Amino acid sequence: MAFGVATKLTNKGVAIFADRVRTTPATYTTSPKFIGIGTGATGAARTAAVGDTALSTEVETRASGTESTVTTTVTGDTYQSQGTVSITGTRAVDESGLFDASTSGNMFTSATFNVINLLSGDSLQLTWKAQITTS
Amino acid sequence: MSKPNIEQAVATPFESIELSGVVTVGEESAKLLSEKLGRKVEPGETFDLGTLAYFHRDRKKRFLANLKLSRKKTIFS
Repeated sequence: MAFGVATKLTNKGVAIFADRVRTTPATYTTSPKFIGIGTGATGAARTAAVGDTALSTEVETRASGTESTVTTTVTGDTYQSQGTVSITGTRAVDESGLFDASTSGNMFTSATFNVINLLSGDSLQLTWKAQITTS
Repeated sequence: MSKPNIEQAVATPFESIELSGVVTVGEESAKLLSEKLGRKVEPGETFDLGTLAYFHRDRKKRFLANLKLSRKKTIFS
């Protein structure tokens, strides 16, 4: 598939949602609050897809996002993780994801987008929102 | 009692995923942006990237989101 702008809840993300509704999650015991960024989607001609499990070329240290539920349509219908990634070099950022660990882990959401060129010293604050709808 | 419309239920997406961003510029970017924008940009100044990507059944909304990004993109490209 050609490169494109997209955001997806991954297959693993669906499983995380289901498991974490349980009184005691059996598999996914950490919330998917960690925000990663990467620079490899354009080169890999990758568009975010539900089968994604990792970024093409992850860079920088993941941010441990601040979690909340916010309202998009119905009160409290949206999971949100917001965090800031510090940029330590020249980066053409074109992909991001939410994970359930500070390194490796399971990919909850995946996004590919047009390149954002950043330089050392910049900070990129990202806000991920996953809304569940009833219709 | 009418039959539930299974086909309709299956076709309805149940989630919407959105990503948005803000960049706080450091010294290097501030210097470059000062030249590009023709005004003094101080380190620590923030630039809203808008909605980076937005997947929804409403394609018009997605198009507008992408358009917004392409406009903002000129600042950082």
